[in-house]
Amino acid sequence: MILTFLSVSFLVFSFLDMAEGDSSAYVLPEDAAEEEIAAYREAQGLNRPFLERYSGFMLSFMKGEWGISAAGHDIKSMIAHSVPVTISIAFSSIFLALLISVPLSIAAVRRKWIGCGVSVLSTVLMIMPSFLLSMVLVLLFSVYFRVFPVAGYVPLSRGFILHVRSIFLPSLTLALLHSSLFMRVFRKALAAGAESQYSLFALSTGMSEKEIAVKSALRPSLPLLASLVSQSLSFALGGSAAVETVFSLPGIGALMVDAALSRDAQLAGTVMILVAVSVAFVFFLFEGILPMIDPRVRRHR
Amino acid sequence: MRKYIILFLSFVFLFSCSSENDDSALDIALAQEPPTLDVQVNSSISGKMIAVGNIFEKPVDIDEDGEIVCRLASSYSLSDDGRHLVFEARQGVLFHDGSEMDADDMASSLNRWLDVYAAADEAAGGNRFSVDGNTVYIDSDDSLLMLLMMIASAPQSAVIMPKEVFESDDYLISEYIGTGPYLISQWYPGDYIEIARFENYEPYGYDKSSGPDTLRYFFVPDGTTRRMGLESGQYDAVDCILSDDIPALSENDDIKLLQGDESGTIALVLNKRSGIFTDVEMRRALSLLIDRNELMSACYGDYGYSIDSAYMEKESPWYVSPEDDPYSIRDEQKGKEILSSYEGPIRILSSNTSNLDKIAIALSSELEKHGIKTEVIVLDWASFIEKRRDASSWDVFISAYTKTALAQMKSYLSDANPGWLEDEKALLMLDALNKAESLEEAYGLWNETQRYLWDIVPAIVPGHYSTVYGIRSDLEGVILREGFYFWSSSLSR
Amino acid sequence: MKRLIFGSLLLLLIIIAALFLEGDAYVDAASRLSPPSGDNIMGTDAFGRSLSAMIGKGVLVSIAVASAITALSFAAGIMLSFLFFSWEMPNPLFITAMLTVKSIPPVILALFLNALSGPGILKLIAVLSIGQMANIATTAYSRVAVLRNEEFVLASFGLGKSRLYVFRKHIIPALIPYIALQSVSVFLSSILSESSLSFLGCGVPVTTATIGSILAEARATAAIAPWTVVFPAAFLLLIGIALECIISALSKLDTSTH
Repeated sequence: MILTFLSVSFLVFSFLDMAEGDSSAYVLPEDAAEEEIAAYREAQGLNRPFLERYSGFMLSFMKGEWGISAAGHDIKSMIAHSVPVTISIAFSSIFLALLISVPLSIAAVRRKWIGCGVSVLSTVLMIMPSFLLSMVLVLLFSVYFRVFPVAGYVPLSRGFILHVRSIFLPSLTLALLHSSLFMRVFRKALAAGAESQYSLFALSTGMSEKEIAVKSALRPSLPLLASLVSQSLSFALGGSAAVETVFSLPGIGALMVDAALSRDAQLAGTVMILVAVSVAFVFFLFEGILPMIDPRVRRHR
Repeated sequence: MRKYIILFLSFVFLFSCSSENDDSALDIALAQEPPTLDVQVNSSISGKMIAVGNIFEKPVDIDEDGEIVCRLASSYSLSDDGRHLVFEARQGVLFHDGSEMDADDMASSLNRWLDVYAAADEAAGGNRFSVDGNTVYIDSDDSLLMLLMMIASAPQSAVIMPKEVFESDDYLISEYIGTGPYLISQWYPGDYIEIARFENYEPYGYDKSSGPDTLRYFFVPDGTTRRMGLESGQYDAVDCILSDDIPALSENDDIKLLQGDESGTIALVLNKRSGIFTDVEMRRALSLLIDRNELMSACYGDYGYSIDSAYMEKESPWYVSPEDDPYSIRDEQKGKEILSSYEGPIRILSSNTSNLDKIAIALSSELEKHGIKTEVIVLDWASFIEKRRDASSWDVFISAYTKTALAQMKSYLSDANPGWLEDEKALLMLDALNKAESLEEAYGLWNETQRYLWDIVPAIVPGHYSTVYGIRSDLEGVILREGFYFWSSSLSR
Repeated sequence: MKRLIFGSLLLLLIIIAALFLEGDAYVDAASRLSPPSGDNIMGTDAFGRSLSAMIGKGVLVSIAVASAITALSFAAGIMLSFLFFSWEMPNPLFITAMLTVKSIPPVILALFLNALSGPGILKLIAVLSIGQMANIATTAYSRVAVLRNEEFVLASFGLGKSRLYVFRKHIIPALIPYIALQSVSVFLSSILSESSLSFLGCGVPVTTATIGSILAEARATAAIAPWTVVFPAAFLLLIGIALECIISALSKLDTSTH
């Protein structure tokens, strides 16, 4: 969807163009004289007309020359450093969320008292802002128990255990937040499925309660779960800026925030196109998978 | 069920081995990331902490007593009339790329610094350095004393780099090659900068080689996270400890808190070009009305600041005692009377960095309490800088000014910078200051200037602040001077 | 039904309580971070302002902002549904617009808009509404896609009824429970998103208080002054419970998963 990439990058570029201030405020000192600021702007090509800068950007992007940021860092390596962070956290948070919510939902449907507990838990999680939840987790596991680091990211190359330790708490934070939504929806779908005709039929054939819940209720509920997962994944791929700020993770979210604050159109445009690519990818993936797991959708194609 | 318990326990066991820092590396958490390490252009404190003294060095520096000491210049001399300044380039100093520093490198570096630093350029009278054998020299029609002081201590640091670095067309330098005991080994923007020991460092006069082999500066903008990292042992040193964390951290035996001299001042700069504060009586009224403690406390809590209306920091030889400031003694009634005759809202502008917006909120609350309407405009840094240029859009802005070696370096003392001090007498006094031929003369001139400025109130200084740093208690030898430095630090065992 | 009434009443109670919460909202350094006492039943914040006054105002603003966002999203949902209903193809333009919006996280959008001319409540509402609209649009689209082929709809067309009529009579009643359900979730997630944005400095302007901004500020002082977190969080919890009841009541009316 080339149109999407164009629109995203165009939007980003124009926003930054219309925004007050430019990267001179970010790089030069507060008391920089007018001549210094003018010289800097000229050297960075900030005085060229919008269309010229935008088309220059798009052309060099497609050629694969992504240029340097306002402060002179190589954009490709910045992105190469940030992408693994966001991807590992996005996927592990979804994984953890499913790990937490699916068993809990199944258990909740089977036993009433678990159901109550799960309701309370998901309500509390639902209203927790991520920065508060993360603070609780860090106080408990990093300061008090010293099991996980407070902040910072360790890449996979420096060791598997160190890597997992550094992303565990951020992933858990996101996972708990996703879980509250997953559990609520999934429980409802499971409960509905368990009461439906399929299960009555299955019961009559002698399957145990557990098997019924899993087999008959799970299948129809999957599409709902899949669409939730895809929503959460797209969100996480955009980089959950709040979590990244709290845990000082140099992910895509943090990169975008920096680009916006430093009015760096080159960096912002490049990163946004990549995010759009991944969001589109996730979207079409689920569009493609959905017919396979939801027979109703298939009917209407 | 048992399976899960075993799995969980082994998980916890696996993870509970916390990583020990090796003795030869220090992990430091900083509140802000410098946008660039081109410290000739960028004056951020973080940039200085990471680069100046570690990676780069200057020809001369200034010590705690305000005296000039030699670094990369083995000697310097300023003629009696101040119009001829000479530096002798030290022999045998190597750059990180292996080449030897010579007078050409020194001249090119200083000239490029003059090119990118308008205030220094003015102090140099527009002149440039030339090379004569092993020395570099500069001549001017006026005294170069202030230039010398700026080379020693200006916020934009006059560091020396190989002349080849300046041959590209880019505005900023693209490689960081200095003479210091550390060279840059990694920089992951948004994550950390790692600097490692430069084996061929030439220690001259003062020893910088007893420190750790590696320093990693992590960028952790959130104060609470920095504190928790210090408490958990993840970071060995942390800057900008939040005021409200200080009591708890003081009780913690594993941590010691360091607080040096005053790090800077807060100023409410008044718009003298347009709006309510073009009238000097209004400015004085504001100074009489505000409760300075309210403003400082909003940002700094209970620690780390002092109420002081002097423009220069207390430990500086330029300090003038504020008892002589007629408008620093509160007179709410009088201030209110004069200010409430103003109809429109007083527009308070601030950036949202370093909690300065809290001062804006406190100021607004103060004024509103007295029935004076206000409008608070808090913007991100880039918008703030841009908006400040527009004289019609604000009445007072709030900013923090880090310690400077020269009084006239406070940027609001100029007709060109936002605030626009256009008072003729003040400008003449500042000009005389720039041309002073000795420091004693300068201090005397500033004394008069400060008193005059207190009278015409171009800006209001509610107080001074001093940054509090937190380090692990077994870390010795940390140097505190506008930032903390670790080149001679060690862990006591 | 019981739940719906309980939830709505609770919400109403919260709003009324907020209207009655009073206190000195001026900055007062001397009394900063004081624990709950006779003067200030909820204690004071880091500025010395009475927490009850701040929460009183904050709750009202949060609810107002969330309501605005919800109303906008709801309206957008209905309008977009009508559009999908009328033009049958999965319009590439629509998909482009939706993917574009999905790709730009609300934080970034908020930062950009604030960079244009400073923060503001209207901008915040716009940003969060746009973010929610993409999701509402997708799900509305999928609902309409299913409904359009239902027999009663086809029958209506067969009888010669106009698109607008069919939409009003048949589609809207089928959609409303579903969109209403989504809207209440939108309400809640608006409050949370707004608090994250305030935490990052791109939410409401600093002079306006919302539950989210109060919590964001309180994070730094949570350890030494727990009341700064406990009281706003308690209100947030109550709002959450109220909404949860409403959601579960409405979801009984939603037939989409059967």
